[in-house]
Amino acid sequence: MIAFALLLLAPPPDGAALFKQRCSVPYCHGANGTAGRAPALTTIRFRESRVRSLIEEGKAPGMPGFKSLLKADEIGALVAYLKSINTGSGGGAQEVREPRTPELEKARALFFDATRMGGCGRCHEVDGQGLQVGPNLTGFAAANGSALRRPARSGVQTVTPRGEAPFPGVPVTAEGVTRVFDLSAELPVLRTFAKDAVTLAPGGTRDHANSVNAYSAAELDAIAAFLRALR
Amino acid sequence: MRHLTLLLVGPLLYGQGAGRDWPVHGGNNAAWRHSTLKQIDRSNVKRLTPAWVFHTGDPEHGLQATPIVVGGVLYLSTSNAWVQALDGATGKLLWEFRNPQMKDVPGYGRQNRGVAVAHGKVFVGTADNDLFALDARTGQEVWRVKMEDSRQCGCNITGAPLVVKDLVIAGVTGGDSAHRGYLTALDAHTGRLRWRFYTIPKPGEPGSETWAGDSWKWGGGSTWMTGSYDAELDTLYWGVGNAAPDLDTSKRPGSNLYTCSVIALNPATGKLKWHYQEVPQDVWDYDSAFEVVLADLPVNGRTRKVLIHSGKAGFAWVIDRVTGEFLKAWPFVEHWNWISGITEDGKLVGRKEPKLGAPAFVCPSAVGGRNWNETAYSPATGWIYLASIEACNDLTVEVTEPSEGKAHIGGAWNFKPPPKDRIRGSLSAYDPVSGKRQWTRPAETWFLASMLSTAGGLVFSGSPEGEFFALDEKTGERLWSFQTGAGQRGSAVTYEIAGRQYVATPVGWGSLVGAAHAAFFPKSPAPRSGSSLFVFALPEAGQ
Repeated sequence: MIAFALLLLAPPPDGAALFKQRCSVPYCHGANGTAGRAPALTTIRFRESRVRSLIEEGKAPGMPGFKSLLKADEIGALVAYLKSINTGSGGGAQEVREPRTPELEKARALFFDATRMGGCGRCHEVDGQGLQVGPNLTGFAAANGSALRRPARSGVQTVTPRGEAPFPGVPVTAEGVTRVFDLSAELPVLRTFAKDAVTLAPGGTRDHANSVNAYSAAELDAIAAFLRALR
Repeated sequence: MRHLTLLLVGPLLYGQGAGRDWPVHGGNNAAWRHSTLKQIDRSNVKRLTPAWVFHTGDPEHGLQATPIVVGGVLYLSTSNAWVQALDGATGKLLWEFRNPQMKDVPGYGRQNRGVAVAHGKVFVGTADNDLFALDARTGQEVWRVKMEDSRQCGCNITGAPLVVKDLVIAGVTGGDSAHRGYLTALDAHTGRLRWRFYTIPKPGEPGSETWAGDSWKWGGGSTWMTGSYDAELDTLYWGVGNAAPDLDTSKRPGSNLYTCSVIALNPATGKLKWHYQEVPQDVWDYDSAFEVVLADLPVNGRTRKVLIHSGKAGFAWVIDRVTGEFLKAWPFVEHWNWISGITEDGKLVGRKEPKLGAPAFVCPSAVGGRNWNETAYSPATGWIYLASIEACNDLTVEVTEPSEGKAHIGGAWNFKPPPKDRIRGSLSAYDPVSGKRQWTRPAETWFLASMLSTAGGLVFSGSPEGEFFALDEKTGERLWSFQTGAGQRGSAVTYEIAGRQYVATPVGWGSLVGAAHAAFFPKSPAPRSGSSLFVFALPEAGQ
């Protein structure tokens, strides 16, 4: 009876307070839904039923379902709060990529393989990722992986800084200074020199084999197929 | 004479703390955050007055940097990796470097905890995972390396780099992403990669038996704060964060080396000398990623070379830093129930773990018994000054699949007050070996700013409510305070120029954990953001 009376006295759930307690926790949606490790919630395309089911069921990877953790009216209050902070710009939290076959997904993972220090992505940008040191390989038309073994000559020069041994490098456009990617170590280094502190000579080869030999022939074939499929 | 030499060996290694400059992140490479300066002391601190204020102009995520001071020049970094060199006496801007606007910033945020200065260069990590070097005299960029594509790894650099000889060493976030953590050493002059140490061994390497299947690829083990260096032992020490997924251990049975550990590396090669795992198979998100305090202290009647490593688990571990031998562990929070105790040889007993379908109420919370804001160690009192947090959480486990670089958490937490208590913070002094608390001061809410200890007998820190204050190191009595107008989440430093001692504190609230303020203290006003450096000194003669 007392509990029932208390229940009647209890205020309706406060969506903003619930959000602070459950959603803006340090790892997730941030204060006011604008920051954090999970998507910003102020800019999602707001569909009430979709938001409600996301809260209830969760979303892989990372977001737990709250169906058993929150009461129905609490979830309702959260949905109302999210609607109130939504700016309607619709930019965030949507899938942008068309789904790929598992084989191509696997090949993409090989291209950027973290266990190979970022793999090809250390020097090549494709599919919205990677560093633009060497040529963009989107649509690279090779029948199989052996074409990927070619030594990287494209744009490589011999760079000799004053008082330092020469190294293979790729020049980058820069104003008033000389800027080159130094390719002598496993991670490319973007180095900046005063114009008179360095000389560049055309021609130079970076030993591409070190990078490519980290992959098997079958893996290179898979990567070539992935590159062909990119548009 | 021989005795004198012996006595001097310790101090020569890393000094008695910082001196005129604040040359490295921790004041010295032993992470003491202590200065030998004593112009400002207990008797005159009441007269401390603002000397100058600098506004960085980049208020996003507040100002968390530890300023570095070398030869009277103060180097500051902001969340968007703007780097500013200031005249330490006047605040005059000498040069500024603005990093190109970053777009691929993972969810750990943009906060930047400071630069390293050495070899005439300033080394800076970025929120999109670059490490770059500037000419310390001009602010011109010298080199830049993409450590890993942040779109791939869901990781970035928020900690300050550490320079050891000709290497610049930086850690990485990513402990709650499907990511394998590492520490990277670059050549300070050229930026070329010298080594990368993965905090999770790959199949075939020692320790790989502590991971199952592919879990090693996604196991977390971030290195997001700054390590220490002992020159005499030529050893680099670094703290390693939690295992991922944080709460779901179904795919990672085993102790999960080297997560939640302190690691000792040969700095020239990046090879592991030893490790000590503080929390085997972490299931509470108890990062051990914070500063590693090096000191020579009496343990059971014998002076030992130890390290003191306190973490989110609410305990400080005392480890022999020559051998990695466990010596002692002591709690610094009042509320802890994740274990019932630690045996004399360091084993955790009575683990309270959440299981699938069986949530657990656990203290401390995933925010930690403390957070990254750093401790200070005073060689004068021999005590550690530490800001602790009393909070708990309900942990719920959910089975999760890894997706590279994406959040990899495996459950949810719901913050709760401790039993018969409220969520609260304190600042306390502890004996670093016995763990005996010497004094404690309650916070209005909590403390998320670092401690600074000085030979003037003072401990400085700041509050979310905007106060920068000085305490008596022996009693905790508050001797002075100044309202800066915004929350403090950074690390104060002190330095001397032309015979005048300055104390500088970063001001401006931010960070992911800072965002938990609203959940922890719903009745308290949100701490104010901003990004300013407040600098104090005693009035000059005639003022």
